[in-house]
Amino acid sequence: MNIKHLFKTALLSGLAISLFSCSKNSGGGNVTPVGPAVYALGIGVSTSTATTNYVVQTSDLMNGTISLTGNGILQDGYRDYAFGGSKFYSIGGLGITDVNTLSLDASDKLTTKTGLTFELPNNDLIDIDGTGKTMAGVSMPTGPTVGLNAKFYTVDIASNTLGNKVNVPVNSIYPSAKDWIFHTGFQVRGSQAFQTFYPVSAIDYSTQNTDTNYVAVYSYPGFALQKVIKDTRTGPSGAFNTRSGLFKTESGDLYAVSNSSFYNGYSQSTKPAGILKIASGTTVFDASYFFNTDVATNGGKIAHAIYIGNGKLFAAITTKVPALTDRWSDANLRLAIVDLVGKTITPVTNAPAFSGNGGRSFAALLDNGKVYNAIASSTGVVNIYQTDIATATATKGATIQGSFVGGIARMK
Amino acid sequence: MRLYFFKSLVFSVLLLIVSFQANSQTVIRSVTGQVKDAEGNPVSAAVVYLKGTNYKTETDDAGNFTLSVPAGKYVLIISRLGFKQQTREVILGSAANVTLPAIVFTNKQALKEVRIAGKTNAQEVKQQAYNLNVLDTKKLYNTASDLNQALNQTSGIRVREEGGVGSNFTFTLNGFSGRQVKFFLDGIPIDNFGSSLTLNNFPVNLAERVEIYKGVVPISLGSDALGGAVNIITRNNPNFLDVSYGYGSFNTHKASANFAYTDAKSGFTVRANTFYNYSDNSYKVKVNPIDLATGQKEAEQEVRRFHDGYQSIGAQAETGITGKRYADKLLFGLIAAGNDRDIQTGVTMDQVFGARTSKSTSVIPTLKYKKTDLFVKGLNLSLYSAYNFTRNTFTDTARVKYNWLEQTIPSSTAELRRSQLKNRDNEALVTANLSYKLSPNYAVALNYIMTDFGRKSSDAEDPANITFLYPQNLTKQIVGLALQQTFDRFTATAFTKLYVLNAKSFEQFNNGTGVASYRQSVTNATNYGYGAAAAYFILPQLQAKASYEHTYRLPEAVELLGDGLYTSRNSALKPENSDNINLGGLYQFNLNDVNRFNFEVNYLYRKSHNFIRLDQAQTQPIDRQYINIGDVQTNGVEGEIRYSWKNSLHAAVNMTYQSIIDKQKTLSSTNFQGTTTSPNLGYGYRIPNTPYLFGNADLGYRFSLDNNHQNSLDISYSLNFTQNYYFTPYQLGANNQDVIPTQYAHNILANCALKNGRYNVSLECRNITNSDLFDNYLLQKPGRSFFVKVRYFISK
Repeated sequence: MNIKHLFKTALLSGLAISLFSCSKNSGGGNVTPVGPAVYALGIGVSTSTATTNYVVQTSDLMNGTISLTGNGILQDGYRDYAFGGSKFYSIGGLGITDVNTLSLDASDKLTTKTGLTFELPNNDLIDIDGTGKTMAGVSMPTGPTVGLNAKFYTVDIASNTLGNKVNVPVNSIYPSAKDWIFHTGFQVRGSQAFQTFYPVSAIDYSTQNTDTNYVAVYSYPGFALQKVIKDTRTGPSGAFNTRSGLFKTESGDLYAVSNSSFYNGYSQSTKPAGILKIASGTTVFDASYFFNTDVATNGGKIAHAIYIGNGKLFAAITTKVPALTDRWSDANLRLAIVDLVGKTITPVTNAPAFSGNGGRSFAALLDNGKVYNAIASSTGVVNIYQTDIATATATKGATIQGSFVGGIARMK
Repeated sequence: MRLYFFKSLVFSVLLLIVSFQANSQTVIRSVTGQVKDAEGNPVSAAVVYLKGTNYKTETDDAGNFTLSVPAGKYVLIISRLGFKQQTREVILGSAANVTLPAIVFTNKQALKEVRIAGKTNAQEVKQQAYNLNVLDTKKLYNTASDLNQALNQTSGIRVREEGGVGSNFTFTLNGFSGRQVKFFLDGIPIDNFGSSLTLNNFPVNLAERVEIYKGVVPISLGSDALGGAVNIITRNNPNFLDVSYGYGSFNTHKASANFAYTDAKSGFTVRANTFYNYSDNSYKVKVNPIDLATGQKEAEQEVRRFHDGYQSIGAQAETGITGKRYADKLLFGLIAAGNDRDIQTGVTMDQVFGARTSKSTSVIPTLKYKKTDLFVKGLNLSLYSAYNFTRNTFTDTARVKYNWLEQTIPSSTAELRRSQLKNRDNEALVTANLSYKLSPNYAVALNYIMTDFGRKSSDAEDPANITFLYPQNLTKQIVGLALQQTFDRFTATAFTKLYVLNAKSFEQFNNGTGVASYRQSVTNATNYGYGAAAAYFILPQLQAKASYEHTYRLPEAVELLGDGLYTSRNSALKPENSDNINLGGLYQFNLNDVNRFNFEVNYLYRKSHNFIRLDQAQTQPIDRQYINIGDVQTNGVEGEIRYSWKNSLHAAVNMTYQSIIDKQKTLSSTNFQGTTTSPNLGYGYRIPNTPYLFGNADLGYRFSLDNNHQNSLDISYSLNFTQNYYFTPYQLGANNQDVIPTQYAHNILANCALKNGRYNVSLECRNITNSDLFDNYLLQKPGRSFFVKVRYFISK
C-alpha cells in the first residue's frame, strides 16, 4: 500500500547513472557505484506544496538521468552546500541551522554524520586553503532584529567541531543608521580573512549606496576586524544571496567582483560592473587594476562565479543590460570564462542562455580541467553541462530529476 | 389566522417604531412538566407543543420542559418517536403558572428499551441531506475534552496538535485545512476571533452539539468554505446550571460554568457560557539538547518542557427576551476572551525557546434576533450580528538563547527575532437568514452574510516595517438562495451562492532612485457557486444521501494584492475552487430488542483547482507572489459502525481512508521575464504531510448502581489510530527520516453519575501506554496523563 515500503530495502543512496539503472530500484537491488569517480549532488525539488532537498551520489555526470525516485538522502528544510577535505556539508534545516556532514564509507556510499549546528543561518563555509583541514564560516543576521553581530567561526574537518567562535558587531563593519549589510564573499589568505558585502536596507531591501566597493579585513584565525577598505571605481561586490563577490588566486591575489545588477536585487545601479584587485601581500585596492566588465568584449555583469585556477573565473554573466522592471529575476545569463589577469571574457559555446536560482546556488565543480554545472531549460528540465576550460565549449550531460542543483562536489 | 397575521403585522410595525423596546403588555404564563417512560426514566428530546400555535419546545436530559405562552386555554401535545403521543388540556389563567403532573409515556410497541429508539436532536440533524457528522457533546460532558479532542474522534477529521493544552493545531477535514474549512459559533463565523476562541479552548460543556458539514455547506452557514464547515451550537436548555472543574497531569486546570435562566412570565432570558483553562504543559519529550558552547547536538535524552504554560479564559453572556410575539428570541450578548501562551518550540523541537510569549484578547458584542412567522405565517427571519475587536501580541525580547537543559547564552537582540508585534483586528459580521414556507412541502431560504475584516499591525522593535504602515482590508459578502422540498421519505435542497469580494492593500513601485514609493491598490471579484443535496429513506431504517457543491475559497487581501513588501500583487489570482460530491448511506438495524446496530458509509470525491500558494520558484526575499498552483483530486471512504446492547453497552468504530492525489502536471512561475514551466515531480502522488488513513474506536459500559437507574458508573475506552505519513513527498528519496509515525492513543474514562446526572465525578487517563505521539514532524505530544473532573448539573 505504501510505496515507501517498497524502497525500504533499497540502497540508502542508490544511484542512477547509466541507462539500465536510471529507473527506480524496485525490489531493493543494490546499485554499486562504478568507475573511480564519485560525485555528490545537492538537488532541490519543487512540487506544488513545497521545495525539498536531497543529496544523491553518482559516478557519471554525463549520461542518463540522476533520479530521486526512491533514491537520495532527504535533507530537512532549505539547504546550502559546501565542500572540504572529502566532506560534503549540507547546511540548513528546520528551525535551527544544522549541518549534515556527508562522506563516503568503505563501500563508497554516502553516509551522514550529524551533530554540528550553527547559531545563525550560514552565509559561507570555505576550505581556507584547499588542504582539507579547516573550514571557515560566517553567519550574518539578516537585520538588526535578528542580531547585531556577524558570527565567524572555524570547523575542524576531522573532528566535525566548531572553533574560534567570534562575534563582530555589524555596526563596526559598516556604521550606518540607514543601511544593513549582506554578505557576498569570503576568503582566507594566510593570517587574514577578507569579506565582501553590500549595503542594503533591512526594511525594504532597497540599495541606496551603490557608489562604493567594500572589503572588510580581519585577522585569522582570531577574526578581529582590522579595517574596511573602499574603492569608488565600481559598486559593492556581489548581490543578494550570492557568494561570488571575492576570489583568491594561487599567488594570493584577491579579486572583488561587482555587478550592482537589478537582476540580482539592486534597486539602483550607479557604477559600472567591474573587478578590483587586492594584490598578494597587500590589504589595499590595486589602483592600477580595474576590469570594467560592462564594456569588455562579450562583457556584462558577473552574477555568479567560481574560481577555476590560473587567474580565471567560470562565471554566469548577463547577456542584456538589466532593467529595474526585471529586478530579482536573475535572468538572461550565459556561461563565460573570465581571465582576471588578461581582462578578457570568453563565452562558453554550446551552452544555452539561462536564468539563475536567485543566486542561492551557483553550484559548479572544477574537476580535471572541466567544469560541471546545472542549467534548467525553459521547460524546467535540468541538465548537467560539462565545460572544457581550454576550449570554452560545453557538452550537455546527465538529466537531473529535480528543479535545481544546489551543490556539487567530487567525493572520490 | 387572519387576525394573527394582522396582529403580527401591527406588532412588527410597532416594533420598528419602538425599536425593539421590550413590551410586556400581554400576560405571559408558563406551563412546566416532566416526561418519563413507563420505568420512570426521564425522556429527553420529546417534542412538546401547544396545538394550533407555534409554541414548541423539547424536553431536556432530565425530561423537563417549560413553555412560556400568553394566558389562555390550550391542548398540550407531547410526542416522541417510539412512544404513543400524549395530550393534556392546559388552562393558563392570568393568576398563576401551571405545573403538570408527571407525563408518563407508554411505548408504542411495548418496547423494553425505548430511550435509544427515539431520535435525539443530534440524530435528526444527522438525517439532513448533507453529509455531516453531528457530535453529540452531551455524552462527553464528564470528560476533560476540548472540542478539538472531541471532534478528533469522528470520521474524516484529524486535528493535528503541536503539543499540549492550547498548542497550535491544524484542523484537517477530508484533507482540507487552514482557511479552506470555516468555523462558526451558533452560525457566526469565528475564523478571526483570535486564538482564545478556538476549538482547543472551548470545553465540550459549552456545546449542545457540533455539526461538521463535509464538502457541501448549507447556505445558512454562508461562507467561502472550500472543504466544509464546523458549526458549534451552544447549550439551549432554557433553565440550567452546569458547573465543572477538573485537575490533571502537568498542572492542568479546566473549569467551565454554563448557565441559563428564562423567566417564564416575562420571557426574560440570561445565558452564560464560561471557561477557564490552565496548564504548564510540562510533559516529557525526547530531544537532542544542543551544547550552547560547542554547537554540538548531544545524545538523546528525556527532558521536561519548561516554557509551555498556557492559560485561557472566556465568557459568552447573553441577555434579552424569548417567546415574545415580536421576537422568538432577541438577545444582546458579549463574548470576551483572552489567553497567554509561552512558546516552547519552533517548527521542530530542535528549536527551543525559553522566553517567547504570545497573548490574545477578544471582545465581541453580539446581537441575535429570531422570529418565526414574521408578518405572515411561514416567514422566518434570523439575524445575527457581531463586531469583533481582537488584539494579538507576540513578544520576543529576551537577549538570551536557551537549550533544552535550560542553559543560556547571551544574544545581541532576542531569542530569534526581536519583536513586540501587535495586531489589532477589527471585524464586522452580519448574518441574515430569511426563509418562507411556500407549502407544507416546499420552502425557500435566502441567506446573506457579510464580513468586513481589517488588521493594523505595529511593532515597537521594527517600527519602519512597510507591511505595518499600509494595512489591508477585506470585505466578503455571500448571498445564498435555496429551495427545499420535504416529503415523508424524501428531502432535497438546491442552492446557489454569490460570492462578492472587495480587497484593499498597498503596492510598491520603484522609480530607479533606489527608494520605493507606495500606492493603494484595490480589487473586486464576483463568483457564483451552486449545489444540491438530497436524501431518501429507501426503507424506514435505511437512508441514502447525495450532495454536490461547486464552491470557492476567496483569496485573502495579502494573497491578492500583496503586503507592500514581501509579497506583491497578482492580478491574475483566482479563488480556490472545488467540486465536492458526497454519497452516503445510513442504516439502522435492530437484531432484537436489545441488540442495536447503526451503520454509516460515505464516499466522497473532491476535485479542487487553483490552490493558492506562495510561488516556490521565486527565490527573492521580497515581491514574491501568491499563485494558483495545485490541482488536487480526493477519493475518500468513511465508515462507521455503532452497536449498543440494552442501555448498558455501546461500541463504535469508524475508519477514514482518503486518497488525496496531486494532479498538478506542471508548475509554472510567472516572472518578470515571462512564464517558465517545469514538471511537477509530485504529479500523480499523494499530497505529503496529510493524514490519509485513520480511525477511532470506543467501547463503554454503564453499570447501574441502584434499581431506579438514578446512579450509574460508566467505564469507557477509546482509541485513536493514525497511519504513518511523511512530511515531504514519500516517493522521492530513500529511507526518508521525516515520518510522522503510526500512532495508537489509548484513553480510558470512568465516570460516576449520581442522582440522574446531577453529581458527576470522573477519572480519565489519556495515552495510557505512554506512547510517543506525533501529529507533526518532530513535535512530540504529551505522554500518559491523568485527569479528574467533578461536575454539577441541574436543569429545570
